[in-house]
Amino acid sequence: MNLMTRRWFAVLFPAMLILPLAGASQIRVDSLARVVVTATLHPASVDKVPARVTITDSIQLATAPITNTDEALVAVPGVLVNRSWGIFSKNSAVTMRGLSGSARVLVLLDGVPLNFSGGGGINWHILGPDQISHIEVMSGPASSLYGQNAMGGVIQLFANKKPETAALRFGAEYGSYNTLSLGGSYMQPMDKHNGWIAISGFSRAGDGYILTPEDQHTPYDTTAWLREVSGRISGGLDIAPGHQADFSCIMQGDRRGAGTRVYEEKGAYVQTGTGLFSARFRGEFGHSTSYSAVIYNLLENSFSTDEKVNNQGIYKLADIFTRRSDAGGLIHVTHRIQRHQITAGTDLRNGALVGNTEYRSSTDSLGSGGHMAVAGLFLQDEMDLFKNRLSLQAGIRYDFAQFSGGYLAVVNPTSETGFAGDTVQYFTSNRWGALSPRLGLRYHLSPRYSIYLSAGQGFSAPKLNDLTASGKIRRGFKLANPDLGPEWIKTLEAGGNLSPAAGLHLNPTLYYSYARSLQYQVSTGDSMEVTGELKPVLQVRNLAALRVTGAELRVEWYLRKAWYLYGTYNYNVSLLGTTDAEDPLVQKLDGKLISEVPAHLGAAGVMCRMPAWFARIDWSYTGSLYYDDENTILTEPFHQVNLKAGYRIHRHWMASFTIQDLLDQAHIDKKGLLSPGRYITAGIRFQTSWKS
Amino acid sequence: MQIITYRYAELLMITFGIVLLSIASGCKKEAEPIPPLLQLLKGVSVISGDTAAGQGDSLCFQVNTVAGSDPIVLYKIFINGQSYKDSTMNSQGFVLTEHLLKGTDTLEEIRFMVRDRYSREASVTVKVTLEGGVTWGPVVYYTGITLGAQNFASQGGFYSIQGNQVFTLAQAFGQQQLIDLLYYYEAGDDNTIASPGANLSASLFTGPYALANWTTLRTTRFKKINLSASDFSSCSNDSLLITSYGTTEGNRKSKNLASGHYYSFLTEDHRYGIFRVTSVTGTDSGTILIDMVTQQ
Repeated sequence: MNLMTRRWFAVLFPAMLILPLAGASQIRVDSLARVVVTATLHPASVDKVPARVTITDSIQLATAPITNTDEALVAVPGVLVNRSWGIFSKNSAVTMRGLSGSARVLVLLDGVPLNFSGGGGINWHILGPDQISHIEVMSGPASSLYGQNAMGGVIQLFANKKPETAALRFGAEYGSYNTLSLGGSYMQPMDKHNGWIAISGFSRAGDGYILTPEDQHTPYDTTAWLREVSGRISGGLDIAPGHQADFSCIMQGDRRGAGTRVYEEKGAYVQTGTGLFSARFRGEFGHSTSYSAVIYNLLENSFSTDEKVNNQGIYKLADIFTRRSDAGGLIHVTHRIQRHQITAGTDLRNGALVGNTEYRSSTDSLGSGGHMAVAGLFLQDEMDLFKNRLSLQAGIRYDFAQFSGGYLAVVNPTSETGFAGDTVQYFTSNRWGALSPRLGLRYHLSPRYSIYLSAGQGFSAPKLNDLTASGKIRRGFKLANPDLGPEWIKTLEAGGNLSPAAGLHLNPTLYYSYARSLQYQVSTGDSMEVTGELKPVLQVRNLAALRVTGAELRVEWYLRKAWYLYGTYNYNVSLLGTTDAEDPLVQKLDGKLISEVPAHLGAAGVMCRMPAWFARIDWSYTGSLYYDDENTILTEPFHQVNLKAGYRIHRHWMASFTIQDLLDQAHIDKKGLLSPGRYITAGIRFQTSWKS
Repeated sequence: MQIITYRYAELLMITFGIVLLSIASGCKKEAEPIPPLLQLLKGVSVISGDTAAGQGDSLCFQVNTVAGSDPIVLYKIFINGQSYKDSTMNSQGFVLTEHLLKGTDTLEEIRFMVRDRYSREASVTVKVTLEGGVTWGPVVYYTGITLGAQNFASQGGFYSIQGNQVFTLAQAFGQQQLIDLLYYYEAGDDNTIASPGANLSASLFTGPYALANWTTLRTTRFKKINLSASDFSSCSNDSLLITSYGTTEGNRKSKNLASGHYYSFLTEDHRYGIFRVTSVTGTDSGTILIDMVTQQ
């Protein structure tokens, strides 16, 4: 592999340096006056909304040296993407603004929430980067519009888009660890009813690599292999003049090795199947009223086999079944009255979780589950004052959440799970209400300079997984907490959109957040044997407080039209404050830094895009972070340099290569496992379009 | 052009339908899974059905297991519903000889059970009635037993209850059939008394006499108990030794030993006992001092 890598460098690096001098015709990729919808639920200029919104457009996505959609977010300030095993990671954790946990970031796909009520996270493999048209990231709480999960921010992926012309695309990539990817799409606009249909598919398979560092290898280590396939069919049409309907159906399945094999044919692995069906209706009544209604059903079945030999030489085997589902609907109407643009809507959602762990090498069987229903009502007013120099956004939302049907069933327990005997616990239903206001102001000093100030409150109901599920996790044994309550965060932030020169954009932001009743995993003080070691019993509890102070800066420079340079930096301090907590186990965390959040995050990159070719190099930095709640395990900071280049070899054919971790500096993640190191892929793509 | 567009749509829908039909037709009915098999073999001096035995009598069973559709991963013995022995594996079948001791209960239900990879189960239960009354045997005390850790060359760390003897590694190598327990220090488990048959790090005892080169590794099992010094000192028979060990299987190591700890144990030749730690120095060249009461 090293020899192959050196040869690639020898050929491609000089070519990259020489080609820009050839003076090919230029394509402007500036994104001035771009329009976003995430901050207001209707189209608005990114420089007008009183919030920090970052756009990753289709060109940035197409040229980014990434293999998964979430990796594009590394270039967004304040976003931490934890995908330490690259494409072999079973999922990615994306967190924002100094808060740990994927559940504190709401992720939407064309307005449909992808966060599961079960665990709070999302399946980032549901759509590949090729299937996304652009991404909007709104930093800071947005619960006044979106309710729960939107505490650290909102990430919205856009995929449903009517094609202008019929288009066909297919391609293949081959790379490190014998990884082969195949993908394709077909889009067809239709004359009748202004309709369209699109089909896309993607598959990926790779042998993977051994996750354990070499000095810790055991005879049972094997590669973390990958098999993945996904398909999507979507379409839309005008149901009446000015009223459109569209739908999307996504099916994704994968099977990923966990890096251990003892006796089972496939070793330890995780198999996940995810389906998302959504339909949207939208339109306008006259020139002043628009509406949007979305219904959706999100379902995920996962099965994993965990086999290992513990450090006492005892074989352990367990099968884990999990079914998560979320179904709901969102409706909102926007109406313009003179200077006011008023948006009102409702949001209903019902989530369910059913989990079962069968310990095959002991007699234990653990089952758990529950339901979480959330209903929200919201109202937002936007105003332009003082000759459009001042934009004001005020919103308020009330959410009602109900936890019901929670249970934990234990059959034939042994010391493996630590339960005393057979038990079935039915947890008491619980209800909460949450009011989430937000006020934002943006003042335009000039067409090139504006500043904004916003204050908002975010909220998240507890996750079903934390309420009902008990079982072994890597750090110890996690115990259900049916008494867990919701958490709240208040954030005050100020920032500016500054453009001192044409094509140069500086976006500084300062923020302060205060979270109360934070849901945080703590050691209970008990311990039990997990894989042969005495490990702590952990439980998610409502901590007293968290104070987050931070600053972000994003600089973008569109230079000489073909060049694009960017840099981001985020400094963050997230301190736990627990002095007023009654629980002594929680009190001892007072003054500790929140786990899994680094103080420093940075990224920078340069891209050159010409009609016949493009090249882009990105650098990212993730500072050290504490892995445990008591701040005793500190991970090493790490850098990563990624590169992508493409060349049009024929009118319809494009060849490209991607190198992730160019310097081959594999790092150890928080679980003590290795990242893949230098990962190289080369691919070819056919793309054509025609007027139908 | 519009006709072409609709034809495209039709073609797509037909292709989609064909794919769905292909998937559906590819699904075949799976064969009925076969559970594992467990039986107690009949033979001379082995028990294969309900029987009666006196307290402390040896109960010998020959267990034969055969995997069904999937390999056996769990083998267990329960005595009166309590887990006595627990082994994990991945096996197509095995024959084991089990030696158990009749306890003091009037009736003991001994259940042998295997499970396969999908928790399909087979089990056989044998009822053993107590024959005669409960009688308790005499005990013997050994005090001031000093054992040296692995790097204390001059102080032996291997102990044989028979004859109350302490051996160095080289001496123990020649008396493998007598060694019931040994002492070592290792970071993590710290001060540990283990049986030679425990899963010990190869780095603890090295050289020609290392445990890896032993042909007989006796297994003593330990259970941590709470006991007062007066209870320990006032054993007039073996009732406390037997009842404190109980009916579940102990561990092959007693880890993180500290002064004042009490452990009940059962040796490979079915001798019950209790030891207490009176002092420990806590290094790999240190010593541990124990007192012991055991069946005579």
